[in-house]
Amino acid sequence: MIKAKNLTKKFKDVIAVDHINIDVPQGQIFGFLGPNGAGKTTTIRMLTGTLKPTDGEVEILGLNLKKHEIEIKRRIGVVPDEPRIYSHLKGFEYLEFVMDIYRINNKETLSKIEDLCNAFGVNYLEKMISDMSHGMKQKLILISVLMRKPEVVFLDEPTVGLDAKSAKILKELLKNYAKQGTTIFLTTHILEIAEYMCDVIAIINNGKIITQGTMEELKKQTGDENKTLEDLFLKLTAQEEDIKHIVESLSR
Amino acid sequence: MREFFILLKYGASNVYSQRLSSKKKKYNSFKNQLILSLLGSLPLGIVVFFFTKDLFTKLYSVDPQISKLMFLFWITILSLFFIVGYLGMAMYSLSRNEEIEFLLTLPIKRRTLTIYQIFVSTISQLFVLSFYFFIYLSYMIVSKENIIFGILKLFVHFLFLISFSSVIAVLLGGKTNKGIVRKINVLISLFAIFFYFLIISFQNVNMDQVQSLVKFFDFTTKPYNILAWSFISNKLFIFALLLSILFTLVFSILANKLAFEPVERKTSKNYKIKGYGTVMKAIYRKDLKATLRYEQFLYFVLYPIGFGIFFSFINKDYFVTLFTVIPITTFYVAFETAILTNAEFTNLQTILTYPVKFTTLMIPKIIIPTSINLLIVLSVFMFSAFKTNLSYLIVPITFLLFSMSSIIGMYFVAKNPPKTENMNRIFGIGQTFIIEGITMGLAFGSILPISFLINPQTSFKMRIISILIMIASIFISSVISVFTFKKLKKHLELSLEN
Ligand SMILES: Nc1ncnc2c1ncn2[C@@H]1O[C@H](COP(=O)(O)OP(=O)(O)OP(=O)(O)O)[C@@H](O)[C@H]1O
Ligand SMILES: [Mg+2]
Repeated sequence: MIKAKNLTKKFKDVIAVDHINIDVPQGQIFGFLGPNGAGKTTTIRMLTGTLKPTDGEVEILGLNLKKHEIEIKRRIGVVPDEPRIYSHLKGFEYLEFVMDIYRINNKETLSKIEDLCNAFGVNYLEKMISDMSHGMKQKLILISVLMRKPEVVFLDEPTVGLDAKSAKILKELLKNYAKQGTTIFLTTHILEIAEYMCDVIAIINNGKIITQGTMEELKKQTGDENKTLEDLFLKLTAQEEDIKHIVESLSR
Repeated sequence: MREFFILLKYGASNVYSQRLSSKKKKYNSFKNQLILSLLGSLPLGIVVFFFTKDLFTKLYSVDPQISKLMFLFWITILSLFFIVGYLGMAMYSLSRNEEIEFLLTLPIKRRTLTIYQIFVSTISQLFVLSFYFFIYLSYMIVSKENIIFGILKLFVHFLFLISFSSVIAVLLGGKTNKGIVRKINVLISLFAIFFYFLIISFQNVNMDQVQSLVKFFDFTTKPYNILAWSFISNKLFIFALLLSILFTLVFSILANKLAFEPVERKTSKNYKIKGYGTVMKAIYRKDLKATLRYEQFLYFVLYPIGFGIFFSFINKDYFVTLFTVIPITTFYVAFETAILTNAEFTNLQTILTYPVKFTTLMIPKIIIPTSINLLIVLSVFMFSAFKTNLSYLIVPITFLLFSMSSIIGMYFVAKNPPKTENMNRIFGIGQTFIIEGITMGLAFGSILPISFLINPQTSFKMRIISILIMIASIFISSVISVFTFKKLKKHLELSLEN
C-alpha cells in the first residue's frame, strides 16, 4: 500500500532523508521511530505528496504519487505533526469544509462525526479554532481525518497533546482500523506506543533507516530477548553512551 | 520605562504570538496600527481643519461667543465618541485575555502593562483624536489663544477623559469581549463619518441660521457639561485638573487589584453540521468567512465608502471622489488578499494534504477582495453616476488595478511565508510603502488623466499628455501584474519544496 524507493530529500545543506526504501502492506501498522531531526516528518511529507522529493519514487495504493497526486490525496488521511488549521473557522465549520472538499457530504459521515466526537469527548465544535487548545485542535484534525475512513492513514506524533483517555482511544481505534484493512504509518517518540501497536518498526537516524522488522526480529538483533525496544533504540542510534556521560556531567 | 518602550516597539501581541505561534493575536502591533490609522485619519483631519477654520473665522467676526459655543459643542461630541470608543477598547485590554495571560508571565511590571494597554487604547481612537486636534488647532488660531495655555488645556482635558474612562473600564472590565469592541469601534467610525457631514453642512448655511442653531448648543457651556470642562472656564479647568489627579490615583489603586481579571465568554451551542455542496462553494465560503471575520474588515469597507460619499457631497466634481476612493481601495485589495493568503500559508502542512490543487485554493484570494472592492467603487459611483462615455473606462482600469494589487499582496506573502497568523506581520513597513507606492501611484496615474480628458476646456497639449500618462500607467500596471504573477507562481511551487 505504501511503497518508497530510494526516497531522498536534500535541503540546502542537509540530507534530511537519504535513499530510504519502505514497503508497507495493507492492514499493517508501520511504526517509524528516530531521534529529533532524524527525518521522520520529512519522509511523511514526501509520502503524502506535500513535499517534492529530491530523488526516488513513491507508490501509494498501487498508484504513482507523481501521476495520481490528487486521487491519492483523496483516498489517504494525514495527521500532520502540528495541529494547524484555519483559525477563523469554528470547529464544525472546519468539518463541513473537509466534507465538501473530499466530497463525502452524506449521512454516513455525519454519524461517523458524532461517534468520533463522543469517543474523543469533543463537545466544543461551536468554538472558534483560534480559541482551541493544542489538544483540542489535534482531536479536531483526528476527527476530520478518521471520519473519512481513509484507506491509508499517516500520523505524525498523533498523541502529542492528547489526554490519557483520548490517547488510549486513538490507539485502540487505529488497531481496529488496521484489523479491518486500513494501512497505518505512524511516527512517535513514545516507544511503548510503538511496541504496543506496531506490526513493523523502522528506526531512522540521520536520514537513513538503520533497522527494520517486527518486534521479535528487532529483539533478536540485540541478542538478548529481555532487552526492551528502548535499549535497542538507544543502542542503534548511538545514544546509550551519550546519556551516561550527560547524566554524569549534569549530576556533578 | 524600558519595558514599556520594548512593548511599544515590538507590540505586545508580537512578543506574544512569537512565543505562542498557534494562537491568534488580538491586536495589531502598535507600530503598524499607528501607521495605518495615521494614514487614515490625517488627511481627514486636515480637511476638517480647513473647514472649521473657515467657519470659526466667519462666526468669530460675527460674535466670538458664538464661535466658542460651536467649538464647545463639537468638543463635547468628540469627547463622547472618545470615551465610548476608549471604554470598549480599554475594558477588553484591561481584562484578562490570551495576550495578557502571556505577558503576565514575563518579567514586566503590572503597572507597565497597564500603562501600555491604556496607551494602545488611546491610540486606537486616533480617528477621533485627529479631529480633536485639528478642530482645536483651528479654534486656537482663530481665537488667538495663548499657545502654552492652550496646549495645557488640551492636555488636562485628555488626562481627564482618559483617567475617568480608565476607572470605569477597570470597574466594568471583564464584561466585554473582542466582538463588542469591534462593534463599538465600527459605530464610532460611522459616527465620525456622520460628524463630518455635520461639519461640512455648516459650511453652506447662512449666518443667521447658524446663530439660531448655536443657541441650541447653549447647554455645552454649562458647568454640568463635564465633557468640555477644561475649555469652558478657568475655574472648571482647575476642577478638571484636580479631578484628573484624583481619578488617576483611584485608577492606580484599582488597577493593581482589578486589572487583568478573567473575561466572560459566551458561545452559542446551536449549530448543525451540513455541507455546502461543492468543492468550489466550500472554498469560497471559507474565504468569504475569513474576510468578513477579519477584525478590520468593516473598516476596510466603511472607510472608502464613507470617504467617497463625503467627497461627493462636498465636491460637485465626482472625479475627486474617484481619485480618493480608487487608490484607497486598490491598496486595501493587496491587504485583504494578503490576509487570506496568509491563512493558507500558516497552515500549509495541513492544507497541502487536501485533494485540491494549491492554485485552486489561491484563486479566491484574488477574486474575493477584487469583487468586494469593485462593488465598493461601483456603489460610490452610484452617488456620482456615470456622466460621459469616457468614464466607463474606469471600470476596466479599476479591475486591472485591483488584480495587480491583489497579485502583489499574494506575492509578498508567498515570498516570505509568515510563521504565524499574526496579521500585522504580513507586510513589513518597507513592504507597506512599496505596495502603497505602486498601487496608489498607478491608480492616480491611470484615473486622474480621465478627468482632464472629460473636461472640454483642457488644451490639446494637456490632452496628449494625459493620454500618454494614462497609457503608461495602464501599461506599467499590466507589466507589473504579469511579471509579479510569474514570480508568484514560482514561489507557490517553491513552497512544495521546503
Ligand atoms: N523545510 C526545511 N528546510 C530545511 N531543512 C529542513 C526542513 N525541514 C526539515 N529540515 C531538516 O531536515 C532534517 C529532518 O527533519 P524532520 O522534521 O524530518 O525530523 P523529524 O524526524 O520529524 O524530527 P522530530 O522528531 O523532531 O519531529 C532536520 O535536520 C531538519 O533541520
Ligand atoms: Mg517531526
